[in-house]
Amino acid sequence: MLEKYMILSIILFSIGIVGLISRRNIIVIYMSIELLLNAVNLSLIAISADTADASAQVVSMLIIAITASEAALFMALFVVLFRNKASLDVNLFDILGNKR
Amino acid sequence: MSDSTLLSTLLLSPLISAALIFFINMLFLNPRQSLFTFLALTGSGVSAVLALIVSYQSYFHAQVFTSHLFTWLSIGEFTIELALKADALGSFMLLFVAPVSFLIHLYASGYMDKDKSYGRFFTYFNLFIFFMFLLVLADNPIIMFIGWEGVGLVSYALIGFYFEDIQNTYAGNKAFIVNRVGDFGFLSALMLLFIEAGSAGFSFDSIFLSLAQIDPSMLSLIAFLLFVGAMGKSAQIPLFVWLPDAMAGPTPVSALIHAATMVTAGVYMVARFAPLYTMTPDISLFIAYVGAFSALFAAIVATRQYDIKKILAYSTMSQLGFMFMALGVGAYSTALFHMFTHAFFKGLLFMAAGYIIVAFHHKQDIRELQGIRKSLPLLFVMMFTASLSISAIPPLSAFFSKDAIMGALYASGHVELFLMALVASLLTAYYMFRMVFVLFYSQKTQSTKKSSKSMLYPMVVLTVLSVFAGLLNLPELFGGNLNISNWLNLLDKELLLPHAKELLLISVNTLLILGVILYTYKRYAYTQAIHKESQENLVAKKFYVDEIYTLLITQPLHYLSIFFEQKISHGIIDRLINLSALYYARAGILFSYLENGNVRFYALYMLIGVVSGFVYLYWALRGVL
Amino acid sequence: MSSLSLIIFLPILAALFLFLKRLNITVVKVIYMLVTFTVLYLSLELYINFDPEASMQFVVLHPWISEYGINYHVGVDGVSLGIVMMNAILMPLVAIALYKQRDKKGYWINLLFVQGGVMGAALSLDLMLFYLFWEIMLLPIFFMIGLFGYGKKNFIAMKFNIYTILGSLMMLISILYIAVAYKEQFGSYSFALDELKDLRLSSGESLLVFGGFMLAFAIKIPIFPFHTWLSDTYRSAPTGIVIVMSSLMAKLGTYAIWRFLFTMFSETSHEVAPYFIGLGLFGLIYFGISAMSQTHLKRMFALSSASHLSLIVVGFFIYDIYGLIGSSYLIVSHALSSAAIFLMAGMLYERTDTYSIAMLGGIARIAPKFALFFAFFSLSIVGIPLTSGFVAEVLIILGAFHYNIYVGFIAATSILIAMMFMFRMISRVLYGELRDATAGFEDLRMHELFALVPLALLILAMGIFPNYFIQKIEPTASSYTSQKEAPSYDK
Repeated sequence: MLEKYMILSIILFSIGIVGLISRRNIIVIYMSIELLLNAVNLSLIAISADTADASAQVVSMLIIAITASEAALFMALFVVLFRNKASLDVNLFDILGNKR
Repeated sequence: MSDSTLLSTLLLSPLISAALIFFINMLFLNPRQSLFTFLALTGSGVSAVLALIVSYQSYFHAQVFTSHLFTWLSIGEFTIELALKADALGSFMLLFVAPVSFLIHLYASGYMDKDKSYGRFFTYFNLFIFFMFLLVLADNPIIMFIGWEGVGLVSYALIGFYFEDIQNTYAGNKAFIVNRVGDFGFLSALMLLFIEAGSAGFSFDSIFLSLAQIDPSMLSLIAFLLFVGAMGKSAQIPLFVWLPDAMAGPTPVSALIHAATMVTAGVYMVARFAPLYTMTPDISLFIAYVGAFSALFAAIVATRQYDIKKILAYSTMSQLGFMFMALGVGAYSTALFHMFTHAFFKGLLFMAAGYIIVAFHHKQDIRELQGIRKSLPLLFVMMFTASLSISAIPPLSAFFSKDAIMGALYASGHVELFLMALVASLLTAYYMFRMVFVLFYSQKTQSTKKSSKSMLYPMVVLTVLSVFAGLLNLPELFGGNLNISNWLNLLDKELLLPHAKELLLISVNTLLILGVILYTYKRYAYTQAIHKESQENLVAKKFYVDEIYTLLITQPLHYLSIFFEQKISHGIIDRLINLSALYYARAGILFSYLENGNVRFYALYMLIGVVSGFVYLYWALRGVL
Repeated sequence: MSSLSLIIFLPILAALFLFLKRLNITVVKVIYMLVTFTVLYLSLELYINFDPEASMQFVVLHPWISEYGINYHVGVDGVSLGIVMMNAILMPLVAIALYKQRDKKGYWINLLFVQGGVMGAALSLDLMLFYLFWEIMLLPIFFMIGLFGYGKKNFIAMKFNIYTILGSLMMLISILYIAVAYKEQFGSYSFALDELKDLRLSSGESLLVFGGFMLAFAIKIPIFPFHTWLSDTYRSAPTGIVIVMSSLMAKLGTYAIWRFLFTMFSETSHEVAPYFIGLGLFGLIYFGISAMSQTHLKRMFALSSASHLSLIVVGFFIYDIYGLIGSSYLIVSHALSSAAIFLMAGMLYERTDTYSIAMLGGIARIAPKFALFFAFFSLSIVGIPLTSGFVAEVLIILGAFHYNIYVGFIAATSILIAMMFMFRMISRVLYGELRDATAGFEDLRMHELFALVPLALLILAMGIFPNYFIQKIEPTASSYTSQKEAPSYDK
C-alpha cells in the first residue's frame, strides 16, 4: 500500500518541480512550491502510518504550520513586487544576477 | 731603508701620487698645473730610482727583494697573499718599465701642457704605473691578474680620454672588451691551476713545484688558456683588433701603454710561466705560430696605413709577434731582451710621432705631413735612428735582439717560422722607411715653431738607449757573454748556431734589409707614390677583420638580444603569464552567465545537482540494493 | 629587548607610529633618519660583537603560538649578518640621497616598513615568522608602486603582487605540509628550522615541498623563466623601491634558498642542484644578452641585476665553500653597487626627465663628479679589480671550476657578459655630445655625495681588503659545507 502512496507523492513532487522551473508567474510558482511541500507531507504521513510511528506526523504538522506562515509572507511579497514592476513575471526580477 | 719597505715604496709611490692628484683635481677649482706635474713626476721618479736600485742589486748581487703587504684573501686552501717579489725577471722588467714610465711622464707633461684635463690625465697615468708594477712584482698569479686587469682598465680610461668624441670611448670599450675576452682565458686558467696544483699555496714558486702532478692534457689546456690572456693583452691574432683603435688616446698613452709596457705584459706572463710552457711543447709551438702569423699580418697591414700612429700600432703588434715566436721556440730571455729594446725604440717612435702631431696641429696622416725635415731636424735624426734600429741594422739595439730571435728560430729547426719572421722583418724595414721617407724626404716643406723642451729631453735619452741598449746582451759572436740572459736564468732551450752559420745569417739578413730600404727610398723619397696607392685592395682594408668580427659577433649578439627580449621574454613567457590571467578572468565571465538572478534557474541547477547525486548513489550502491 | 628584536621592530613600530600620527613631513623625515641611523648603529654593534667562530648568535626565543609550535625565534650567523648590515647601511643612505625629492609621508613610512620586514625575514629562524615577514615586506612595495610609480603603475603593481603572492602561497602550503608531516613523525607541530632539519620525507614529497619553496624564491629573485615581471616593475617603481627590490628583496630570495632549503632539504637540494646550476647559468647569459639591446636605463640595470642574481644562485647551488662565500659576498657587494647605480639613475631622471639612453649624452663634460661616480658604480657591477664584485666573482668562478670544468667556463663568462652592455651604456650616457636633455646638467649636490661616497668607499674597501670581511662569513660557510658534503656528489 505504501508504494502507491509514494508513487503519488513522487508524481505530485515532479509536477511541483516542473511548475517551479517552467512557469514564470510568481503565483503559479508559489503554488508549485506548495505542491512540493505537500508531496513531502503526503509521503511523511504514509511512512508514519506504515511504520506506526507518530514522529513523522509531528513533522508534517510542523510543515503545515510553516506553509501557512509562508503563505502570508508570499502574499505580502506579491503586493510589493507587483507595486514595483506592475507585473508578476519572475524574469523581470533578476537584479541579483550578472548584468551585462 | 729595508728591502721590503723599498719594494712597497716602489709600488705605492705612483698610487699615492695618483690619489693626491685625484683629490686635488676633484676638490679644488683651479689647481696649478705645476703642482700636478710635480706630484706626477715625483711619484714616477721615486719608483724609477728605486727600480734602478732593485735591478742593480739583483744584477750584481743576485738579491731578491720581497715584501709582504697583507693577506688579501684566505678561504680554506685558497690563500692569496698580497706579496711582492722582485726576482731576476721582475727586476729586469722594472729596469725598463720604471725609467721609461718616468721619461714618458716627463714627455707627457709637455705634451699635455695646458690641457683642461691635465690632472685627470696624470691620475690615470700614475695609476697605470701602479698597476703595471703590481703586475710585474706580484708573487702569485691572482695578484698578477689584478694588476693585469688594472692596466687594462686604465688603458680603457686613457684611450677614451678625449671623451668629447664618442668614437674614442668606443675604441676604449673595444680595447677593454677584447682584453677581457683574453682575461676570461687567463682567469679560467688560474682557476684550473689552483684546483690542480694550488693545495700547497698559490705563489709562483709553489705552483711550479707542483706542476708535475698535473695531468698533461690538463696542463696543455691551462697553458693554452693562459696564452689566450696573453693574446688579448699583447694584441695577437685573433684578439688584436683593439690595438689600432687604441691609438685614439693621447700619444703619450700610446707610447707608454700601447707600445712600451702594457702590451708586453703578455710576453712577460708567458715568460713568467716558463716552467709550465717548457712542459707543454705543443702549446709552445702554437704560440710560436700565432706570433709568426701576427707578425706577418701586422707587417703586411702596416704597409698600407697612412695614420702615423696606426703604422706604429701595427708595428708594435708585429714586434710582439716576434717576441712570441721566440717564446714559442723556448728562447725566453731572447724574447724578453727584444721586449727590452723594443720599449726604447718604440717608445721613442711614438714620442716622435706625438711631437709631430703636436707641432702640426693634430694632423696624423703622413700624406699631409710630407716634408717636415727642415722644421724638425733633430726629430728627423731621432726617428731615422729608431727606424734603423727597428729594422735591425747593426749595431743598433734591435739588431742584437731581433737577430737573436732569428737565430733561435733558425736553430729550433722550424724553417717555416724562420721564413715568416724573415719576411716580416723585411716588411718592417719597408713600412718604417716608407713612413720616414714620406715624412722627411719630399720637395714640399712645412714649417712649425712650436717646441717643448720637456718633450725633447726624454726623446734624446731614449735615442741613446735605443742605440746602445743592445750592448747589454752581446752574444758570444761579438765578444759578449749574454749578460742579461745569464742574469734572467730562465729555462731557455739551448738554441746555439755555429758561429760561421750565425755570421752568414746575419750578413744575409742585413743585406736584405738594406736592399729593402734602398727600394723604399727609390719608391717613396721625393715621389708622389704614396698618393697613388690603391685604397680598395685587401691590405688597405686590413683584410676586413673588423668587418668580419662585426658580422660574426657583434651583430648576431645584438639580434640575439632583441630576439631574447622581445620574442622569448615578451612574446612567449610574459604572454603566457598575462594570458593565463586573462583566461582566468574570461572563465569567470563564463561562469557568471549561469548566475542570471532568475530563481527558476537556480531551482533547475539544484534539480540537476540532486538528480545527478541520486544517479551517482544508485550507481554506487547498485550491488547493495 | 635584545638588539635583534630592536633591529626588526624599531622600524616597523616607527612606521606604525608615523602612519597613525599626523605629522609634518620634515618631522617624518627626521624620525626616519633617527630610526635608520639607530638601526645602523645597532647593526654595527652587532657586526663588531659578532664572533665568526660561533654559529648562530644573539638568539632570541619566545613562545608565540605554542600549541602549534610557532615561536618568535631569531638569530644571526655569518650570512644573514651580511644582509642585515647592507640593509642597515642602505636605508639611511637612500634617504640622504632622496630626501629633497620625496615629500610624501607614505614614501618614508613604507620604506621603514620594508626595512623591518627585510630584517625580520633575514633573521627569523622560524618558518611561520619568516613567512610573516616575507609578506610584510611585499605590501609596502605594492603601495609604493601604486602611489608613487610611473607609467602603467596600477597594472604593474597588481601583476607584481599577484605574481609574488602566487609564489608565497605555494611556500605557505609547503610550510604547512612539513609542519603536519613533523607532527606525524614527532608528535607535535614545529616550525623551527633546527628541528625541521630532522624531518624525513620521501623523495617525491620533499621534491614537491622543495618546489613550493623554490617557486616563491625563484619569482622573487628572479630565476629564468619567472623574470617577466622584473623589467616592467623596475621601470615603473620609484627609486627607493627599486633599490629595495634589487638590493634587498632579490638578495633575500637567494639567501632564503641557502638558509631554508639547504638546511631542511639538503639531499633534495643536491639532487636538483645540477638543474638549478643549469638554469642559473642560462639566466646569467640570457639576461645579460637581453640587456644588450635595452634602450631604457632602468630596464637595462634590471636585467643586469637579474644576470648577477643568476650567478649568485649558481654559487649557492654549487655548494662548496668558494661558491657559498662568493655568493654571500656577491649578495652584499652587488646590493651596494646596484643600490648606488639605481640611486644615480634616479638622480639622472630627476635632472633630465628621461631614462632613455639614446636621449642622454655628454654628461662628463659638465658634471665630472657625477660621471666619475656613475662610471665607478657601473664598473663595479662589471666586477673590475679592487671592487668587491671582482672578489665575489672570482670566488664563484673558482667554485664553479671546482664543481665541473664546463660549468666553470660558463660561469667565467660572467666577466664578459655585463661588460657588453655596460661599457656601451657608459659611453652613450656620459660621453659624446651634449643633448637637449642633458644640457645644463647639474653636478652632484652635497647631500648626494654624502650618500654615494660611503657606498663607493665600502665597495673599494671590500675589494681591496676582502679578507677582513670574509673572515666573518668563512667559519659559517665552512661548517656548512663540511657538514653537508654529500659523498656521491663530488665530480
